[in-house]
Amino acid sequence: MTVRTARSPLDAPAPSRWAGDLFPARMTHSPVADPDPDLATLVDLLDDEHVRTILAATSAEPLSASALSERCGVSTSAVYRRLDRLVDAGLLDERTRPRSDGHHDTVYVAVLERFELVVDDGDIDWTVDRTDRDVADELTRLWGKF
Amino acid sequence: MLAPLVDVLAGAAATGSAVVGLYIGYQAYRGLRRNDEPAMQYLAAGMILLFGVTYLLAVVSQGLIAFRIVSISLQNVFRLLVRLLQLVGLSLIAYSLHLAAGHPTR
Repeated sequence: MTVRTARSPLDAPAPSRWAGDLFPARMTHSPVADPDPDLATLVDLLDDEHVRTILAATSAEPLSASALSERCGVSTSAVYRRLDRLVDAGLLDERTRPRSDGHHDTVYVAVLERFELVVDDGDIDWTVDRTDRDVADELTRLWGKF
Repeated sequence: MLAPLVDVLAGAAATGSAVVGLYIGYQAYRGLRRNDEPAMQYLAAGMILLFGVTYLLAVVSQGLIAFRIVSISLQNVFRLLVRLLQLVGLSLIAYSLHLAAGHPTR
């Protein structure tokens, strides 16, 4: 398990990123997920009920966007916006699952395992524990990208 | 005087590359099991052939020749076998690459 700790003085609250739903730029994927999302991004993400449903559901089994849209009871485009942000923040992993017809489904797996906030000594600390990425999965992903 | 040391180093390097090659092959095999990705099957088989089987064959043949169990005249036959296995292993990896490219992951 990797543990990443960040320490920073309390920042002014960032404007809610859900306004960012309007910006198509957020839909693009960065190939490497941000290793350390800042606290505002994290809290903003977790403030969303559907984000929590997505994280909880994908921690049990890999799920596709359409399956997640059913669980959340929202449209797939609304789910995709959240999935993109979660992947960008490094809280969710994308994987592929082959179908019988030779095509692939993209499925999502929760990477966030634990989020801890500590207020102490005039500082706010937070720790994000992620589940380990499996070497075999990374190799499969890389090989497919060649 | 330097020759034995070079021999030992060459053997150690050959063993090391076999171990690393087999490790990658093993991860490819796990990738196959975890992701049902057929390309990983050929990558795993290719890596195991290229590094594991050829290494084993080279060691066994050198042992057989060193202990005079088989004639030294067979040395070139063993070399040919190792080269052929390397060719087959690399072909499997190349084929795996085409399989992976044929099914772009997203």
